Amino acid sequence: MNASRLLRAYLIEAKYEFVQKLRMPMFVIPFLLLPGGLYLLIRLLVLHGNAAPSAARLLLAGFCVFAAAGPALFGVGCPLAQERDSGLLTLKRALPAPQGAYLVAKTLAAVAFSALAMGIVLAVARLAGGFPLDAAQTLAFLAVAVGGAVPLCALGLWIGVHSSGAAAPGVTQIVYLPMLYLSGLFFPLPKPLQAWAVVWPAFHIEQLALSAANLATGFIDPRRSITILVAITLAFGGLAMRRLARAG
Amino acid sequence: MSDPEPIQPSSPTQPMQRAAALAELKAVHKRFGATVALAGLSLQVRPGELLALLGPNGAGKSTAIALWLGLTQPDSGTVRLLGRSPLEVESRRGVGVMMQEAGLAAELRVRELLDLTASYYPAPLPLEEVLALTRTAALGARRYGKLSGGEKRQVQFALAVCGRPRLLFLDEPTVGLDVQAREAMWRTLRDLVASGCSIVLTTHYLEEAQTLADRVAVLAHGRLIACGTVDEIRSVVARKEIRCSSALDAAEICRWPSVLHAARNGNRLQITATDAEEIARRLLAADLQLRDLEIRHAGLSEAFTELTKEAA
Repeated sequence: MNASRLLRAYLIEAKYEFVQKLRMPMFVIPFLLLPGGLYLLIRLLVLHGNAAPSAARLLLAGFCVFAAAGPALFGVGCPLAQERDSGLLTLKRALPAPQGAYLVAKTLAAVAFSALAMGIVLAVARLAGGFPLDAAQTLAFLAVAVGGAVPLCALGLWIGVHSSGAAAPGVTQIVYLPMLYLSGLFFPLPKPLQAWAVVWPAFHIEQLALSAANLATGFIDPRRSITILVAITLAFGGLAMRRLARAG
Repeated sequence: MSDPEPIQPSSPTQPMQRAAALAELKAVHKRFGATVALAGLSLQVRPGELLALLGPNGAGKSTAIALWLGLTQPDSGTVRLLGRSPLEVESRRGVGVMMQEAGLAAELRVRELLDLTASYYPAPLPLEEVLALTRTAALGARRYGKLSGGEKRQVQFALAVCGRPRLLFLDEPTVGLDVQAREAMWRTLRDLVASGCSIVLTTHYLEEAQTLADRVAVLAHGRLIACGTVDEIRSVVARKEIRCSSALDAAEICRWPSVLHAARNGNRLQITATDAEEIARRLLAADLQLRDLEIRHAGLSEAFTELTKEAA
C-alpha cells in the first residue's frame, strides 16, 4: 500500500474514533461539557467572580487539567476493554489495518477531546470575565496540558488491557477521582498530603502548564515533571502494548 | 487408533488441486491448555472454490480460521495465507473476514463503517458498488447500533467484501437472516466465486453447505475426517434412502436384513438401508403393484451425522 493510502487509513481511523466519541452522550456530557459547567458554577457561585488574579489562574489551571484528564484516562483503555469483549478487537486484528492505527486513533481522538474540553473551559472563563491569561500564556498552557494528556492515555490503556469491558470504567474511576483530589488541582492540599502529590501525573501536568505560561509555582523543577511524565508514558504504554501483543 | 483417511477429491476438482493454494494448513497442531484443538490438520483452500468447513462444536473450525487469520499461532506445523505468513499485514490485504461475533461501533453509520474498513485495503470496491452487491443500500445512512440482528449480519458481510478480497472467511454468515436475505447472500456468494474469489465458509446449516460448496471439509476432534465434493462426502455413507408407493407393511420391512428404518406416509414407504439394491429387488418381488421407486444417497446432513458419529 502506498504512503498516501497508508496515511489516509490512519486519518480515517482517527476521524471515525472521534466521530464515534462525539456521538456518545455518556462520553460527551461528563468529559466535554462537565468541566466547563463546573468551572462556571464555582467561578460564579463560590468565588462570585471576585477571585484574586493568582487564585483565578490556579482555579483555571486546575479545571483545564481536569478537563484534559477525563477524556485521556477514559478514552483509550475503557473502549479498548469493551471492544475486546465484543469481538471488535479480534476483527481489527484479522483485518489488514495498518500497524498501530487502532491505538494511534484512540489516542489522537482522546487527546483531541482533551483539547476540546479544555477549550470549552477556557472559553467559559473568558466569557465569565476577568480572564487571567494573555493569548501567549493561553496557548502555552493549552499545548502543555494537551501534551500532558498522553501519559494519562497510556495509564488508561494499561488499565484497559488488564480489565474486562464492564470493570474498566470502575477501575479507571479508582485512579481518576483520587488523582483529581490528591494532585491539588482545585484547592491546596493538607500538609501531610502535599508531598505525595508528586505521584500523580495530573500534578505534573498542571505544574508544567503553569510553568510554560510563566506562572511557575516553584513546587517542582519542570525538568523533573517532564521526566516523570515521559517515564509514565513509556512504562504504562510499553507494558500495555506488551500485554496486548501477548494476550490480545 | 489411526486417523481415518480423508476422502480425496475425484477428477472434477483435480484441476483446482494443481493450482497454488490460497491458504494452507500443513500438519498443524494446536492445544489450548489440556484441550487439543487441532491434531495434525492439513487443509488447503484453492483458487476459485467455496470450501465449507463443517464439524460439531469444538471440532477445530474456528481455530483453523483463527490460524489462517494470524489471530493465534500453531504449536507446530505451517500456516500460509496468500503465499505468506498470516502475521504479515500484506497477506491479510487480500482477505475479507466476517466473524461470528463482532460488536462494531454502534454510533457509526453503515457508510462510515464501510469507509473505515475499505481504508485498510489497497484497492477497495467503490462504496456504492459494495452497497449494491450486498443489497445494503437502504441501510447506508443508518447507525449500526439501530439495526436488527439480521441487518447487522448483512453489514458485516458488506465489510467483508468491501476490500475486493481474493479470499473470504465467513463464519456462520447467515445466522439470524430471514429466508430472503439468506438467499440473497447465497446469490452474492455464488457471484463472488464466479468472479474468482475463494471462500471459506463455516456453517451449521448443512443445506447451505450442500447448496453452495464446491468442496466440504469435515472436522472432528481437530482432525480432518472427510474432504471432498458434496457428492463424494454423501457417497461415503453406505446407507441409502428408498422411496416407493406400495402396500407392504413397514413394520415387516423393518425386520429385513440391512434395513435401518422403515416408515409409511400415506401410500408412500420410506426406507433407509445399507444394501439398497438388494432391498429394492426384494420389494419388487414382494409387491408386483409397487410404483414410483426411488433410491438416493444419503443427504449431506445424514453423511455428516454418520461421519462425526464414527469419529467420536
